[in-house]
Amino acid sequence: MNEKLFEIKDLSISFKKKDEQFFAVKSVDFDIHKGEIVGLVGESGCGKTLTGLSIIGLTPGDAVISGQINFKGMNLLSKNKEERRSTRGKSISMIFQEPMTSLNPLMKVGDQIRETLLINMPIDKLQAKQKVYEIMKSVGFADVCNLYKKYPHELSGGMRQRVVICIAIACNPDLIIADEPTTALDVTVQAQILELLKKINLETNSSILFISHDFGVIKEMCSQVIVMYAGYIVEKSCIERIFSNPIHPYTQALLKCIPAPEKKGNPLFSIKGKVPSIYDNSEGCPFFNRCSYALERCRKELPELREYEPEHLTRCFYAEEKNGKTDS
Amino acid sequence: MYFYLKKGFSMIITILAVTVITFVSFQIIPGDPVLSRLGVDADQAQIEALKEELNLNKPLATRYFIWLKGVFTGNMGQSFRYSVPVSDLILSRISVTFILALISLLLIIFVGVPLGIISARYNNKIPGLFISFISQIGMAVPSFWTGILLMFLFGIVLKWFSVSGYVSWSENPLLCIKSLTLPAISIAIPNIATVIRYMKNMVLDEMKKEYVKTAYSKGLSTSQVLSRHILKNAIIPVITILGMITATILGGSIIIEQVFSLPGIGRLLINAITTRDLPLVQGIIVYISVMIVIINFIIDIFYTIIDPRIRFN
Amino acid sequence: MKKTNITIGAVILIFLLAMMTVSIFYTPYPVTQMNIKERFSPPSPKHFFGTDNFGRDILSRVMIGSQTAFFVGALAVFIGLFFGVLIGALSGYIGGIFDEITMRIMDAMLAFPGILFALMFVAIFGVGIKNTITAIGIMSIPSFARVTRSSYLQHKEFEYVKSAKAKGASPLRIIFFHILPNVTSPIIVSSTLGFARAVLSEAGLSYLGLGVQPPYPSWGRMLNESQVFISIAPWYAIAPGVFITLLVLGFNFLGDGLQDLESLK
Repeated sequence: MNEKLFEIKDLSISFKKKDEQFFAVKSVDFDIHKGEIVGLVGESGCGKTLTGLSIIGLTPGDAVISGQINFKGMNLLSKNKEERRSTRGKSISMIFQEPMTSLNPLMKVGDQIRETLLINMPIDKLQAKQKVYEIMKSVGFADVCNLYKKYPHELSGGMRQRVVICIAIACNPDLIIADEPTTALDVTVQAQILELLKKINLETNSSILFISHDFGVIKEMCSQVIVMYAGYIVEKSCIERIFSNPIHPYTQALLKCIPAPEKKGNPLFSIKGKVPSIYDNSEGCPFFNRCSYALERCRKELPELREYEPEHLTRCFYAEEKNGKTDS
Repeated sequence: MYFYLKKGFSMIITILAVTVITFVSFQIIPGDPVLSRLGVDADQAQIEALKEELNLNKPLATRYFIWLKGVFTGNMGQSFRYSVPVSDLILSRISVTFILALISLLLIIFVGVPLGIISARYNNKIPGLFISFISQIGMAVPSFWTGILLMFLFGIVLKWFSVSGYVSWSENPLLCIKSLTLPAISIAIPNIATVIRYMKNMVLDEMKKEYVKTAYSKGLSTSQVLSRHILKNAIIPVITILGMITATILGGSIIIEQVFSLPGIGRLLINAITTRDLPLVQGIIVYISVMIVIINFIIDIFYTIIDPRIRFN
Repeated sequence: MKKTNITIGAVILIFLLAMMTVSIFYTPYPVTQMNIKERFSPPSPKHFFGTDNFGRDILSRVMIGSQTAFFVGALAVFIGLFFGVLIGALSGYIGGIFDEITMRIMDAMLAFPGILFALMFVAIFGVGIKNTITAIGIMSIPSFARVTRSSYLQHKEFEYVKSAKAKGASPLRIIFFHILPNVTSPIIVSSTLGFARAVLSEAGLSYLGLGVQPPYPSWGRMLNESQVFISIAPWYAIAPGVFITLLVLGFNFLGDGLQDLESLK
C-alpha cells in the first residue's frame, strides 16, 4: 500500500448560534494515501465541502474545528495561521465548483496561474511565465502565448476550469481537493475535465480528494469512496465493493439515482424527503425518516461505524442485524 | 467606437440643455433689468441705449444664440458690478477653485479608500467599528463649521496656518498648498465618510466572491488578497461615484471659499448673487455646470478603460 | 447591532424635538434681549452656552433656532416627498418613454451639486424662508423619485397587482391604493435621510446669508455671525454647530437603522 499522506481523525466542525453548538461534520475519520483518488459523496448539506475546506484551512471564520488532520505525521489543526498558509498552493490545493466566478475578472488568466508559482517557489517572473506555458500545455491548451493574456470572461466554462486546474497543479501539490469540479459544466466538457484529472493523478502522483454528489462521476474517478450523510460517515470502502455490495440504505438509494441506459423509459429515482438541517439535533440515526429499512432502535440510537466486512465500514443497525452482529 | 460617439453626443446634448435651462431661468426673473440698473429716474434715451446694448429688443431665441456664442468665445457680457467682461472675472478665479478641488479630491481618495478597506477587513471588530463611528460623525458635521473650527484651532490657537491670505500657485506653490490645506480638509471630511462607507460595502461584497477563495487557496495572506485581487475589483464601482463626489466638492468649495475668504469662483458667485449681478451669476453657473458635465463624461470614458469586461462589449 | 442605530437616532431626535417644543413656550432668556454689559461671556451657570456680541443668551437662541431647522426640514422633505413619490410612482408603473425622459431629468438633477441649484433659485427668486424651503424641496425630489420608482418597478410584477388588474382596477387606483401602502418603508427611510440633508442645506444657505433671514433664527446664520468673533468668543461658534451635527446625526442613525431593518426582511 502506498504511503499514508493524510490521516483525518475524529474531525468535527461546528458552528455557534445563540450559545449552542451545531455540528455540520461529526467524527469523521479517513485516510488519503499517496496517489490515491478518494471520493467524498453525499447530497448538498452533508458536510463534504466543509470537510474539504478544513483540510486546506479555508473554513468560515466562525467554524469550530476539533480532531486531527495529520499530514505527513503533523497535525495541521495544531499549526498556526502562517504555517497553514504555507501549505496552501504548495502541498494542498483546491478546485472550486463555479468556474464562472472562480477567477479574478480583472486579471489575465496567465498571471493568475503564475501567481501561485511566484508565491510558493523561488522563481522569477520570466521563468515563472515559461513554466505557466508548460503547465497550460499539459492540460491540453493550444496557443498558450495568446491564451495567457486573455481575461476570464473571454473563455468558456470548460476552459476556465482548466485554468483553475492549472492553478491547482502548478506547484505539484501532494493533494488536490476537487469540490464538485464538473457539476457546473456541460456533460461533454465534464468528461474532458475528468479525463484531465485522471491524467494528472497518473502522471504526477498527486492525490485527489474528489467531492461530489454524483455517484456516476465518483465511479469514474475514485478508488476509495466515503459516503457522508448529515455530517456523519455512513459508509466507507473501495469503489468495487461499494458498487457490488452497498450496505447502507443511503448508499443504495444514491446508487439507484444514477441514470443508466437500461433504466430508460422509467422515471428517475429520487430519494424522498430531504437532508436534515444542521440545527436539527434529534437523536438516533439521521437517515431514519427517509430509510426504508428503519428499525425501532434507529429512532433513538445512533449506530456506530463498524466493519461489516474487511475494509468495508458502515453505520447502520439494519446492516448489523442482517449480518448477525449484535450490540457489544 | 460607436459607444464613445454615443457618449460624446449625449454629453453635447446635455451641455446644450444646461445652457438653455440656465438662460431661460434668468429670463424669467421678476423685475426689469434695465430699470433696476439705471434707477427709476433714468430718462428714455438711456433706457433705450441700454436695451440696445443688452439686446433686449431682440426675440428670446436670438438672444439665446447671441449669449451662447458668447459663452463659447468667452464673451458673456459685462458684469454689472465690476464692468469688466464676465469671462475675465471667471478666469482669474478659476485656478483657485481648481487647485482647492484637486487637493480635496486627492485627500478624499488617499484617506477614504484605505480607511474603507480597513473598515471592511476589520468589520465588526474594534478598528472597523471605530472607523464607522467617526465616519458617521464626519457625514453629519457641516463643512463650514469644520472650517471655522479648524481655522480657529490651527490658525489662531496653534498658529500653524495663516488665517487669511491665499497665496497663488505662481507666487509660491508650497505656500499655495499650505493656504488651501485647511479649506481642503473641510471639504474633504464629509466626502471621505461617503467613500469609506461605499468602499467598505464594495470590499465586503467582493470578499464573498468565489475568486477570493481561489486566491486564498494559492496561499496568499489576507493583505495580499486584499491588495492584489480585491482592491482592483472594489475600486471600479467607486469610480462611478467619483462623478457625484466631484459635484459635491465643487458645491462644497462654494461655501468653504466664503469661510476662508478665498478668491475663487464660489466666492465670486455668492457676491454676485448678493449684489444681483445677474450676467455674472449666469456666467458662473453655466461654466460650473458645463465643467461638471465634461468631468462626468471623462469619468465614464475612464471607467470603460479600466474595466476590461466593458471594453470588450 | 442593528437596533442600536435606531435607538441612538431616536434618542437624539426625541431630545431635540423636546427642546424645540419647550422653546415654543419657554427659553431661559428672551431671544431678543440684549445685555451689552454681559456680551461675550463664556459659558456659565447663568448662561449655559455663554452670550453673543449683543449679550444675548446663546442657549435661548439655539433653542429657538431648532424650530427653524425642524420646520424648514419638514416642509422641504414634504415637498420632495409629495412630488418625488408622485413622479417616481408614475414613472415606475407606466414605464416607456415617459419613464426614460423623467429619469434622465432626475439623474441630471442628482448629478448637479445641490447647493448650486439652491443658489440659482435664490438668485432668481430672492432669499428668505419661503424660497429656502422651496429650493431645498425641489432638490429633494429626485432621490424620492428614484427610490419610489424602483419600488414600483419591483411591485408591479407581484401577484397582488396582477389580481387587482384582473379585477378591473384602474391604473391610478392600483398605483395609489394598492401599491403605495406596500412601498412605504423605503420612502420613510428616504425621508429621514432627506431630512438630514435638508437641515445641512438650510444651514449652509443661511450661513451664506442667502437662506433664512432675520427675524427668523437659524443655526447656520448664527455660525456666520459667530465667525467674526471667533477669537473673542469661541463658544458662540460651537453651540449652533453642535446642534446642527446632532440633528443630522439623529436622522442619519435613524435612517441607517431603518434601512438595516429593511434589508433584513
